[in-house]
Amino acid sequence: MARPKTAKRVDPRRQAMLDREAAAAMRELIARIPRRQPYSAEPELVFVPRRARAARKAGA
Amino acid sequence: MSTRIHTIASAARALAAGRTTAAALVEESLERIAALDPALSSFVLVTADHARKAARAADAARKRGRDLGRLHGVPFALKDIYGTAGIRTTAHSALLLRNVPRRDSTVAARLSAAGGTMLGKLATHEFATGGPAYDLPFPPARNPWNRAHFTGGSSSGSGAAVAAGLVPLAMGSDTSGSIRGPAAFCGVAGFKPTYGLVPRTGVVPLAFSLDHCGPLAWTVEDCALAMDVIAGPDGEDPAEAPAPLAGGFARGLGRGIAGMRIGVVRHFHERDVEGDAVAVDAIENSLKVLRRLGARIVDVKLAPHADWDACVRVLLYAEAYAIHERDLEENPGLYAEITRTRLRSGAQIGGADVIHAMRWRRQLCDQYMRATEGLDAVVCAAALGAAPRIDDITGRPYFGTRGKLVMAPFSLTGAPSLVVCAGFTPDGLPLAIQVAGRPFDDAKVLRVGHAYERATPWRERRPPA
Repeated sequence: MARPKTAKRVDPRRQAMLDREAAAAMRELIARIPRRQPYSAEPELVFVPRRARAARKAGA
Repeated sequence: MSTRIHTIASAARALAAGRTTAAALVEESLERIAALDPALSSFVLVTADHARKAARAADAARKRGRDLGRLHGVPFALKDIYGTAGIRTTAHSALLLRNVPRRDSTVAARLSAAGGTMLGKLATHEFATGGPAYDLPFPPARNPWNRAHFTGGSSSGSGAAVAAGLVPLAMGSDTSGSIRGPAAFCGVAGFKPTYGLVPRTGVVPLAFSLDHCGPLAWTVEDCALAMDVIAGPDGEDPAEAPAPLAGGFARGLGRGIAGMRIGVVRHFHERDVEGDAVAVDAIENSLKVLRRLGARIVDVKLAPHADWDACVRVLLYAEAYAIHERDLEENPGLYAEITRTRLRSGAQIGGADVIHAMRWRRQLCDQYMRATEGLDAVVCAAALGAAPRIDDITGRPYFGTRGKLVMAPFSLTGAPSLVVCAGFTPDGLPLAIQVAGRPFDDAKVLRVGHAYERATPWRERRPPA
């Protein structure tokens, strides 16, 4: 798809200032995340291949 | 201009009884759009020809004795992130001004197949995240209760169009409150179904693990009727739930809530989020109504709202940045400043942050399931105040706090969540409560909302024309 030619110029200095502001807010959010070290496998950290997942669903 | 405003249910009854036609309903909606929408900007595109053609087909089918479905002859409109075959789908962005999909999104196709007549595409915050902004191809939607006020977002046009009676049904999307916020601020019913229940196929994504499709309508009954049409797997959305709920959503709606156990998350409005007294009173009064209807109210404790909010926003912006990374690099000037800044914040999130947030998400979801075990539904705040003035929220900071909204827990858990009107401020702006449930308890959530709505007078009042 062709992009429209209506782009506005982005002022790099202003954008850098806005990015710093947003980054500070994002860092506050990230700081709330608990960071316990996982020494055992956890669901989010395990890759389950598609075939194994299907077998699991089928009760195999 | 027609002053008669239909709900889906009333339109369907009038159509079935031969008191009106699909063509007449389309003309009434088009008249209201022409009269009211120049001041509301809820539509970014009115598809009058398309709607008239669909209405003629619906009327012809009815004459032949053929029932097209639940929405036979009922007008609807779509947030402009729902792909529509041959019809521009912009996500309210200059980036997609020339985007004309070849096929309908699953939801658009299902609504049309059920006999609905699509009237057009509705305003949104850019890519369902930006916020109201004036450096976009279309102006921001305005709140019909007071045009100086914010509609909520990002399904801003959907909330405004339903509240103003331009259409009885508007589809929205909800990643971290984008159906429920506009429903709360515009005084309509907005339903975010269980994650995966309504296919997102053909809908412009914001964050794959959090995106939900759902309806906004004047009543809870209308939301349930819409759910009967749009829910169920399409074989294309990787997150799809295996099957729609047995028995549907609208059928058991009127069974009442006597004997139900309903949890209330008091700490959200008493401690976690600073609220206006009038909004807190609305919640407490709503609990009295639910008790009067025979429900037993019990306290529920969850993690502080700030935890839910932080977890959602880290995951949301990590996922959204991955989607927009290339365009942010190559076409930054095609985004509004607020959208660009919000999306670029995702570049600050590291890989370990995402992994830790994903693990935290599971822990929070486990906590939610434990806390709601044995409950039929949960009630809590939706917005702890009425809609702010739009000019108070269009400036910096672009990535600040979420204000008085309580949305994140049900985004993160994917649990069904409904917002209904719970009264008005002395200035005439709507207030709201939120009814949620355990995943796949969608029908129960709708039943609670419907019972509450029927027991209160809030649906008798419409915005000033």
